[in-house]
Amino acid sequence: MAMRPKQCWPLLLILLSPELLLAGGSIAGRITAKEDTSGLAGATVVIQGMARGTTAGADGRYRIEDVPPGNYAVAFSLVGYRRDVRYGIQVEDGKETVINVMLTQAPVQTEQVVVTANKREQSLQDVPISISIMDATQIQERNSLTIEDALRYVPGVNITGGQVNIRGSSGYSRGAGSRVLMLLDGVPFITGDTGELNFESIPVGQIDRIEVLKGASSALYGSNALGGVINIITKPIPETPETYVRAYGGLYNKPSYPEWAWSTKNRFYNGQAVSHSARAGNLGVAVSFSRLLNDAYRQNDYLRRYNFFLKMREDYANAGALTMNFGLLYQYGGQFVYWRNLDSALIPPVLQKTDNVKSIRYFTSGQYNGVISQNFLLSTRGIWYHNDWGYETINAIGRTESVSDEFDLESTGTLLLNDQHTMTFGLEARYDLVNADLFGLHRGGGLALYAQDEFRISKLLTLTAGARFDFQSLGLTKPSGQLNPKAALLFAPAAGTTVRASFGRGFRVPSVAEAFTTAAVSNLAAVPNKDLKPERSYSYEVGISQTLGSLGTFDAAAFQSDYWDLIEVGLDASSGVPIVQWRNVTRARVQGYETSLKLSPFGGAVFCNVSYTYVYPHDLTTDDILKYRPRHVFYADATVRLKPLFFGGDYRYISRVENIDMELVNLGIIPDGDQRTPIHVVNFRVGADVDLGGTTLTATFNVNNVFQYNYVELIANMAPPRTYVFSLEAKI
Amino acid sequence: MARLASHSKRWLARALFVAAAAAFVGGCNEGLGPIYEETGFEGVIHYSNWPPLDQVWELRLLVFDNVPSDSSSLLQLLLASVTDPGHIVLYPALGTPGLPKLVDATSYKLTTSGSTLQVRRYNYVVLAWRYGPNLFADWRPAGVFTYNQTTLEPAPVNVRNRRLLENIDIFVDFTRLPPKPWQ
Repeated sequence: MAMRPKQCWPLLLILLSPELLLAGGSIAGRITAKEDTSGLAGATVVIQGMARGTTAGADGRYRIEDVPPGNYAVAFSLVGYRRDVRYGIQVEDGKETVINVMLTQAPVQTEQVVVTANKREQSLQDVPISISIMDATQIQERNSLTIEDALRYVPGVNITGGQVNIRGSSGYSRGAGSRVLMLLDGVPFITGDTGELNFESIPVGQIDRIEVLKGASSALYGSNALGGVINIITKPIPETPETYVRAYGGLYNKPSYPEWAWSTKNRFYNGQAVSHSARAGNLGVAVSFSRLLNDAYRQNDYLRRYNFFLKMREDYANAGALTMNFGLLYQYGGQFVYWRNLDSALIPPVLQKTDNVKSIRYFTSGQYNGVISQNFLLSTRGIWYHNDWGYETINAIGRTESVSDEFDLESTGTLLLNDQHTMTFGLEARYDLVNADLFGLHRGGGLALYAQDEFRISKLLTLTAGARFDFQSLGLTKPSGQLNPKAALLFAPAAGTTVRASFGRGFRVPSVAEAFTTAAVSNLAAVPNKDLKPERSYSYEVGISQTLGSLGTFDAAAFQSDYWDLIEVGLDASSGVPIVQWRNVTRARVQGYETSLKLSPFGGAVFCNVSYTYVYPHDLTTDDILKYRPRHVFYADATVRLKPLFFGGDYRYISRVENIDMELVNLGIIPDGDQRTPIHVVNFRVGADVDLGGTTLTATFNVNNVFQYNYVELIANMAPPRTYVFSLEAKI
Repeated sequence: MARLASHSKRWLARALFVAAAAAFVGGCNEGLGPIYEETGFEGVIHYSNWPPLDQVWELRLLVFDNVPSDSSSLLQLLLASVTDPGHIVLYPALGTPGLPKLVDATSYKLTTSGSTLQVRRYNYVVLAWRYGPNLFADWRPAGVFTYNQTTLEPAPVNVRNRRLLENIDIFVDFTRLPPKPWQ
């Protein structure tokens, strides 16, 4: 018996009646690929100036009903294809207007749709701030095991010890706090205790694309969005049933020096993933399971990870939709904090040889998008994120545990007032429960209100202005409020050219870990700081984006961020035992510029990205360079597609980090911790896509770090040597 | 637009060439490797305005973890270092001839393998000069390791594991001696 929609969904997130009976005509038709006239399932159709749209079905057919009579512009888009906008489409009462559209393939997304910049779908060209996109194909071709691996090639982003640094906003905070906010399908995805980004909870195979928004974004996203936002968007559920199987295996090359060898066995890793998705009427379900077994190239750095992911979506008659995600992660492994010394770079100190970490994390999130009227769209989303992890060291009796639960509920309205004004406003509430051996028992949360207006002053000029007020208590002894304004201008003097300027204020409330950690790990002791205050920043950016015909796009931006009360880890050895404490110590300024070029010459057979970011991260308090911020970051990659083969390569250059935790070195805690070099990493890949009558088989062979360049991103943590990876995947 | 496209192709070709060259050059360098260094520090002691030879009985380098601030005699401090090695290091060791006299400069090297030096921060590196016959009392500093030759404020030396710190130089002017922190 088929389940009725309202029986099978929890009602928690449905705050508003989704359906309003509307009258008028309809717009329908078929969207096909120009190359082979096949139907483009999943293509998006949006009536501009209205909160109305739909997606094309399996054969590319679409239909929007109950459209009031009038003259409209309708936009058609799909990832991988050039956006097409049809103007002057007449809709009459009781009649159907048929619009058939053929989209042209465009590997370089000059008209790509993004959702993070203003909490609604927009063309990338209409966004007044810097944003980069990495899609599933790029992640898949690189055989990225984790999301942070994939992010290593996003312009302006670099990773230090698994923590994300966007344009010099962050250094390394030892797993406590993040100046980058992570979203999962638009929902905040930050742990309640440490406030860090747990990328491993999201199976890489379920990612459709990653949007990286650069610069302070607290005016829309609140705390943590001080340096930027990473929005991980999961794959949509396809119209036709689909089964996906992937298996991969990797082999680490032998260490470069005999002194570094610590095992006579070859070190391998392997993983498997299987997922299935299907639709029954308006209900779509996707379920996936994956695991990763990593022997690791370093001693006591092994990892076993298991992910389960479930996504459900129910579509309603007038473009409303309810989406729910559930994810479960179980992982355990050794813990490699730092090397014994550079002569034994792949071995931890003796006392850390048995350290291990175990984590169980699960979340359930939901989002309801409803059309309230022709010009009002309401989105309500929420998450419960449970995070349980603990570690065991030789120094402690038993396991040190931390359990936290984060609840976040947000409602966002988008009101298309007229052709000139688009209002976005919302309310967000958050509550966290933390019970940890390290941090104690804490309850707290926050409440926020925000609003902004996108004012289309003329066809050439758009002004966006808004603000968000946050009241927060978690991580603070004294709860406090913060108003964060923002303003942005977008000027489009010619087709394909946009000039942008933006200003935003950011803030970040310290995480529970930063404020309340009491611990003794290895030969360090951490003490709480109950006087910790929120960090604040002002960010400014000017930029220009230029499409280069059908070849690609060029983008350049200059930016500056001023920080107050920046929280850094301080080390005090005056009492004899080195004491670690997070403190508001720094007034800082980060200036820089970024250029990026995306090109796909030869009809899209070649796809290249080149980007360069210069950052001057100045600690104004000490007149020094901020820790763990490289000045120069250069990425280049190229992929050539000669069907069915594809091959390509990446090059990553990161200049030598000028300042690190030298206190740890000077006190003799981390031997040779000052040893670091510029980073040069080269990867190669080759693969083939084979169509076996309904089953697409993809085989990929990667060689990462081809030249076996030995480097560290984090103090005393040697990066992987040359690695050979073979993967096989089938889509049925 | 065609010119723009042509220009961008040239730009791309150059950028990829630069990237490939940098990747090759960077790749040829293997990056980090084991360190085959001793642990300690070395430098040169420069002398000027020597006093008469009969006033130069002995010269030794003394390395203190903290600047002596009490009224102990140097001998007491040295005896204390025997029971707690590493806090004060004497070079050359007692029982061996001291540093050369009446020379313009002399080099030295102090390592953990050749002395009681330890991996730690030493805040006071001083050339001790015995100016008279009393082995227990006639000592005073002749020069210190400093970053400021005007104030002669002692500068620290951080001894790190398997690092031979260089240029720990001391400039001695016998007509302008640093303060004496011991009795």
